[in-house]
Amino acid sequence: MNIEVAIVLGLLDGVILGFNIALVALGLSIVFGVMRIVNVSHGEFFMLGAVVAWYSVTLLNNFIIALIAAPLMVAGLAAVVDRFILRPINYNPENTIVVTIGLLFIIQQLVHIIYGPYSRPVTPPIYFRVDFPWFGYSGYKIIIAGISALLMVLTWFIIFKTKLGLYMRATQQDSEIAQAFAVPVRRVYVTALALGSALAAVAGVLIAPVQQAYYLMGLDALLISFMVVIIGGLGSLSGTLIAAFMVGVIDGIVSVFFSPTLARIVASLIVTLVLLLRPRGLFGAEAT
Amino acid sequence: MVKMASMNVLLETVQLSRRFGGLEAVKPTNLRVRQGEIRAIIGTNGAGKTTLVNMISGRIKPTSGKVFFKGRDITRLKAYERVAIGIVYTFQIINIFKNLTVYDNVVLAVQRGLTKGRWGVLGLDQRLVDREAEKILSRIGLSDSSSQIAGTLPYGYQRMLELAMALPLKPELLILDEPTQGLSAEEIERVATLIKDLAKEVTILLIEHNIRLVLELADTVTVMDKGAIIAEGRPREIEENAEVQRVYLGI
Amino acid sequence: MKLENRRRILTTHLSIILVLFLLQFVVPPFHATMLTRIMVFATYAVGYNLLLGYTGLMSLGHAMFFSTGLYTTGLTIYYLDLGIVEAFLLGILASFVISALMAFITLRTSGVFFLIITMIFSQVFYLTTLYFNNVTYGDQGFVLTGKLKPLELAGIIIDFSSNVVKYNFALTLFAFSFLLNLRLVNSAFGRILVAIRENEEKAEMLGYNTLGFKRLALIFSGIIAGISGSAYALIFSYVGSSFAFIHNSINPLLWTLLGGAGTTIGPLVGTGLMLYLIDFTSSLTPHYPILVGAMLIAVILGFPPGVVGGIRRRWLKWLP
Repeated sequence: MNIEVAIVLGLLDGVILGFNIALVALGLSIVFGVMRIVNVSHGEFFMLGAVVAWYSVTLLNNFIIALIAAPLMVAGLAAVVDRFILRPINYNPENTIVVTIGLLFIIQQLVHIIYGPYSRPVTPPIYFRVDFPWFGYSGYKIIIAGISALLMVLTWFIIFKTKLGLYMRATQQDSEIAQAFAVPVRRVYVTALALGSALAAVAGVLIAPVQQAYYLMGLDALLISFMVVIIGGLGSLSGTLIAAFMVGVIDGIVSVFFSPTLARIVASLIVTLVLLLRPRGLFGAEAT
Repeated sequence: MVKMASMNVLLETVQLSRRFGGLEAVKPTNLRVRQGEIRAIIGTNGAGKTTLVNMISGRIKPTSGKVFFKGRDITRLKAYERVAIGIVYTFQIINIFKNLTVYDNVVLAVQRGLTKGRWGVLGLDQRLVDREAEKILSRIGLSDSSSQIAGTLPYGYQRMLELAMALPLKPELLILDEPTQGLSAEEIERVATLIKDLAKEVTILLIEHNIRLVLELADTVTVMDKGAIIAEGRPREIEENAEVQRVYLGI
Repeated sequence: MKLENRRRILTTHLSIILVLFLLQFVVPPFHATMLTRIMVFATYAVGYNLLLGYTGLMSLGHAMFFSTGLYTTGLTIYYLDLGIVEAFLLGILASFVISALMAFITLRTSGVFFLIITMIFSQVFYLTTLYFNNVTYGDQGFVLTGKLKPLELAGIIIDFSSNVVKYNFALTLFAFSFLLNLRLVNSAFGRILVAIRENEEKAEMLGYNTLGFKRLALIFSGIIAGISGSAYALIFSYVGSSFAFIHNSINPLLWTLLGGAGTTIGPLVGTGLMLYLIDFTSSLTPHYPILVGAMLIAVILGFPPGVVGGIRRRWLKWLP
């Protein structure tokens, strides 16, 4: 395979990765935007999606079910976390970080116990090749892009075209005033958390046939989401999307030439550079 | 209160302005404060008073213009550096260390005032600090509450604490942002007495809504409206100024 | 601060060190090793607490500081056959360099951003140790047994393979960090850090160069963490990537919170409790991280001031 094809493939892979990262990072961004907290166990919700996909394919021979079951289960989990852990600490940012770290450990270990320590492949629901002039590309990966795009449009619709979305945007602007205008802030919070976590879960389901399901995969997803929201600016949805594709494509292309470990190192250093030059991110509107 | 003070300009702003997005909170403003005077800035809410003094104290950066202190361009100096050269600001909304004791609050100011330079504070004599803190506390009348948690003090006492923390910093220009807000008549009297006392050594820039107090204390009054200075002069002149009356009482 | 308080505080702290010293003569070998371990990691926690408990900055990158000491000391002994003293001093120097670097790079941010950027840097460090695994042996790591040359100090031979030496070395380091920390927090410097934690803007408007003080705090914190890493290499003779992984940044966070952030004794208590708890649970199940997670949640929900913080609040108000 010559170098140009390798680069194009890397680019394509990077774009697909970008779609996936975008979903996860979008979820994180929504939670931070509306609730002003960082859910450090966000990556574990992503991992749960992949694990549910494995169970769904292995036990029920059906992938599509996971696309529905995983986000629902994770949304339910998010609601429980909100009610019993986040509300008692009043969504205090620093304390939330600590308890969600704890949650990360618990979820990770439970999956370790139940699912096991191994990385297991998940058969894709469809396998076909799309033939381009010089190479073939996995049709499933294109489907990932398609579904991700659909979900992003759906999310956009929810946030900008529905009453719930209006409530969320109002709460993001100023939760006290929103409350004064009878916005049910508590319900908005739990919905935002459920929505954001569900997005991560779906991303996990979608990428499972490509990446395999592994109980530690959440950490990597978390780190990448963090990098993306920093570059894009916490609270800026469009920034998050742009940054996600940037990170995905950079990772994809660098991976053609270097090992994944090095690719990650390079990407991380780029992120830090951005953060230092522009502490608010490229598009950030939020102050820390 | 007339002062036969020097005619030296202590603080000068040159075309100092500040924009927030589309809103021009402070239009290019030239303010000159003379050494030794008590200068009051009055104006309706949103006139830009606090934004103006925030640029003087260094809390926010100006969009354009310069600030001069004792003839020196300090526009680039950070807030903490301006404290070192003698510009001290007390907050409009009480901003003390609510979870620390009254004593700890004062000590933090005292230790800063006793040292020079960035790291001088690392070699301080604790007993000296204690003595100075006691002095400040008794001057303000807070000696009895010294071990109380600052946030549990009554509002008026918290205000006094805010003032008490400005003194040890050895200000040359003391900026008081609505120091009597929310105080009872008796407490206002105490603050007025303190200001008069301080004015003997310190130049005071006072933002106030209490017009009676302003008329009593100020040497010069600057009136702001919608981000610009619309009038400036002796208290009596301002009282009779038609434009000022229109702004305050009119449509 | 009243004179009697000062004496009480100093006496308490010195007594703790004395007790730790005496314990080695009465406890069975298993517990002596546990205590050695606890003292090394408590040093780590003391460093972490300086930044979190007193300055109010939460970092998730301290594994990097710990590992800087660990790897510097470990690699120089393993490959360059350096003596213990030289390797240890190099470890301290390296920690200083990394801490200073981080202080100038990361402290332009604060809050969540600071958390994330420290996490990222630490992850980069971890990945780097994996990337160069032909040198570092990555996750598997390498051992220093047989490479630790005995020292001669004032006519006495100090052999690091001896448990007595290990225990007392750990004790010395802990005592040093413990007392240094006490000196720092009970000084004007400590008061300024607390002011920054409580109300940074007000601290700045009082004339304090808050950025400069935060940097200094991070440097002290990083150096102490690095010293504990160097000590680990010397005492336990093992160097591996796992110490650069994020779990080793979360550990001191938990130990500090459990023991009581913002107290001088808290880190020791928290480390001791957790290490014994984990030791106990790991004999029952390999899934002890669940316990770590549950403890984190329990501490925040149940008793945020931590053990020593709670003691300070209810009974011993004079504890620093």
